[in-house]
Amino acid sequence: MAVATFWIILILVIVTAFMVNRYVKSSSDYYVMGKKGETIGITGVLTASYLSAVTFVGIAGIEYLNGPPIFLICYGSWIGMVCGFIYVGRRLRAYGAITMPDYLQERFGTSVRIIATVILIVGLLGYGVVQLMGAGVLLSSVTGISYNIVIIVFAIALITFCAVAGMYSVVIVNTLLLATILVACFILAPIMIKLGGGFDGLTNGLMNIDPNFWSAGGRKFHMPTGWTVGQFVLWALFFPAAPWIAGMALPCKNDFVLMRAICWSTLITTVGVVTLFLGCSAMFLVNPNIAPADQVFIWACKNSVHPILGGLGIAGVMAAILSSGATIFMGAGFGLSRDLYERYIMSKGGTLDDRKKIVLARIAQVVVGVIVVIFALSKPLAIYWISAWAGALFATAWLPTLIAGFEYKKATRAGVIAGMLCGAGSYILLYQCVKKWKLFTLPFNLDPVIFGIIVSFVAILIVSSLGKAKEEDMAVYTRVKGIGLAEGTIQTMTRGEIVKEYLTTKTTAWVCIIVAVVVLGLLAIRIVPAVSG
Amino acid sequence: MNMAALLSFLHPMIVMVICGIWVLSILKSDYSELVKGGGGDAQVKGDNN
Repeated sequence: MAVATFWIILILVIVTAFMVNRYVKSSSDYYVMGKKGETIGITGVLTASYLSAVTFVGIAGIEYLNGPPIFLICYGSWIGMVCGFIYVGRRLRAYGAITMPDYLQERFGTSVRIIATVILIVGLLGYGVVQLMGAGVLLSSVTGISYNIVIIVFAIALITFCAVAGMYSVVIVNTLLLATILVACFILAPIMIKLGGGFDGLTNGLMNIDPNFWSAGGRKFHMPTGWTVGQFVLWALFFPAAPWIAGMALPCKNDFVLMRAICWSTLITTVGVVTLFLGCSAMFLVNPNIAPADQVFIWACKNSVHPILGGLGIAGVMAAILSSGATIFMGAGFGLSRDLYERYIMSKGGTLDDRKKIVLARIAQVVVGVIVVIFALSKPLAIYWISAWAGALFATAWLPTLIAGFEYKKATRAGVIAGMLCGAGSYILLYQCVKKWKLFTLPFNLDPVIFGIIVSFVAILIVSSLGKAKEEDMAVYTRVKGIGLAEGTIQTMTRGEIVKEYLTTKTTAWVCIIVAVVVLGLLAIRIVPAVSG
Repeated sequence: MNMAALLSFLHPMIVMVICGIWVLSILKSDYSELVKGGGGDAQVKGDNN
């Protein structure tokens, strides 16, 4: 079942990519789907990118051993996704950016853009290698296929579907894969809860084994409050600058699509993740000896449900791995082709026609893929270091820079460069001192990334105050600030279309709020009193 | 009251409410005047035709 699912998903992905290839007629189509993304496609790609292997494997295992609250309380990535999409993504889209570094080029010039792009590529490659290695270990153990073959085949699928049609294939394939993720969260997870004895099992069953199943620190880990707060802040600050979240706003057809997509994605991810984690915790009552624990969801798919449903569940896990990997590969490839090479050619007075730009972007995808595969196969020591820092680089280097660009008129080029370097540098130093060399601990067990962000902001403020911002940079700030974020949408739609879209979006927002309040409220009413006192 | 259990459900619920209210506030601030027939200087497609 697992082997068949593995091959079916990979073939489906590659075939779909070639089918949508005919829509790619310009570099804009390749990079941002010609800005024609509809609500369902953007919802699909955003949700599938958000739900990575970490959700279905790593954290699912922690929930199984520790009970639901340990991660449901500190899952700051939910609010991080909302801020990343509405605050960062909406601005970048309104400013006409094709990639995230486009905005920095416009706002702060070439040097800032190059440094930011290099950090972006290093971070994405590190994160991409981690995802691919995780996928290799997991799928190898599930299917029995050797690690090296899984890595190579998986990477070929990823490279093919990213290179063939760029954002088009990523959006359409991820939307198709979302169906399997929905099956995992909304059909399989409730079945897992039922197998564990339903609500009675989740409450009395778990509490009878150990009351700490419903504690914030967890039954097994007993994490301190500082860790919970630190994790929440870490994820809440990391996701707003994550390119695979904010970058998904760029292909939106208009502002209304963007707003509806984030509503649906937030609804699916909040309710879906809660259901999934309750299901994983309930599996402790079915079998308390699943090893390794992080394969709890896959164990349930293989042993507790009908093979077809189980196959769909495993497909959901593969979909989560593929979709996150694809958006990460794509971000790194776009950075390499558009933000470094294309810009370099143009700075030398050269020109590139649209056909050459697409060829260049495809070559960049292959280069990124080959680099990631080499790292994933050879597993050099350095990659563990880079991967440990990868995610935090976005929070410490990119987030303060983006906020300074949006909100701080007097931010200087030297200021944001100092912010990026000091933020990333201080984080790496603190990470090594605290987590690797164990020289000291931080107050309240807070994560080093929080201090890295503070250092970055302070560096931007101090260095900017020592110099004077260039007139051209402040002019861009003023011009960009003057662009109404809705202006692009308003100018491309008739009044009748705007009224229709306005009402649909308003209804969507209310429906999502009501569904979340009702479903999560009912769960709270049913569970909280039973685990209190 | 088990606060950990309560927060487990309250946290995602609040995030969805924040997201929805944020979207509704954007609709109100950026589009409601246009929809009501005003819109000041905003130029919709076809206004020049």
